[in-house]
Amino acid sequence: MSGEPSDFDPQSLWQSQAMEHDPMTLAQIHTKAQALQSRVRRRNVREYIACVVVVAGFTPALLQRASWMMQAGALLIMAATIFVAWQLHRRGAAQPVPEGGDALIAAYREELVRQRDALRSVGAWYLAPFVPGMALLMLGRWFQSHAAHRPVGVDHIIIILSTAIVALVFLVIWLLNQRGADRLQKRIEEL
Amino acid sequence: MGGANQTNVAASQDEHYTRAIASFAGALERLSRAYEADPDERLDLLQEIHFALWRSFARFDGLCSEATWIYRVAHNTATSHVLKQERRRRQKLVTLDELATYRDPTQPDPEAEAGDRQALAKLTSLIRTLAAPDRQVVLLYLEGLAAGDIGDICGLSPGAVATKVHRLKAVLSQQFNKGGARVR
Repeated sequence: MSGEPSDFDPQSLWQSQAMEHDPMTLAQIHTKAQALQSRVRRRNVREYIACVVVVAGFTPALLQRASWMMQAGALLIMAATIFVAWQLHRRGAAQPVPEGGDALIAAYREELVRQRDALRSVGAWYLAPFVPGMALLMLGRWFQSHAAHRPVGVDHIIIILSTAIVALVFLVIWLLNQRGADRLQKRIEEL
Repeated sequence: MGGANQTNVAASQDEHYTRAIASFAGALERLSRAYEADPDERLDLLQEIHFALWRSFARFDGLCSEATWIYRVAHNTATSHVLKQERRRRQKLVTLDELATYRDPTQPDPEAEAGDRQALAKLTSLIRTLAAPDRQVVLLYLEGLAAGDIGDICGLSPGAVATKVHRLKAVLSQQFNKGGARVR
């Protein structure tokens, strides 16, 4: 393969490449295994702290005796937070142990299907749990708990705008995930 | 009892890994080159493959050969890596059929010597544009595996593998055939 019209042998060319790196030693592998376990533990702690922060954040609304709707809404959002954290924990379990038991095309299809299903279902397990609580909070603000320093009309406009922004954010998240799922579905069909 | 079992599994994992690396270190590094162009990310990928192999041996049941297991775990790990990068880089991957009309948009390396190094760079670049199923078949072919073994690893019939290899040779002839050289 030096400009001469000789046979091009891609297999020999490919296999003749020199190695650039030494393989990982067993000591390095064991260190990495321990680091993975630590990472998983730290991630779990972060999730628990995030839950505690959200629960603490909605506690003032929970203590709003003037508005049972806001109390109920705060309680529902706390429950939704714990539910979503559990779902994230369940779905994003520490790198599953790799498998060589399935043929590559089956494993590839399974991975695409797993990712597609995660994106498709994001509305159900990530967004929907928060909707009842958010709705009750907004209704509670509208009917039972006006901002004392503000005219009611202005308060209502702010509530409408806040609701619209939250709804828009939820819609965008849902649409982006559906688009991603559609792209993956196309690739699954091409297999 | 549980502790003794765990120790046995760990020892077996270590033995399998040591054996795998002794025979397949070169193939795994070539595989990582075919899946990742960036040198830093390539080293990360290679280490990810080594680690995945070691972890996988905890589940190796001997129903397939060790070589089949190793290639499957390595390719699955690399394919997951590419899937993650695709989302980040928005790179479109092609099939073997589309590769015939592929034009590399990158500029040729002016310092690359003519001949084998340039041919290898071009071959690697072409492989990196392939979508997963075709890339896996091509790489296993380049490692010298027989059609039956490739089919076993990939889950394809030997006939389907032979068709893809034939297609690959046609594409390589087209892409590299400046002086009338045939692809072996």
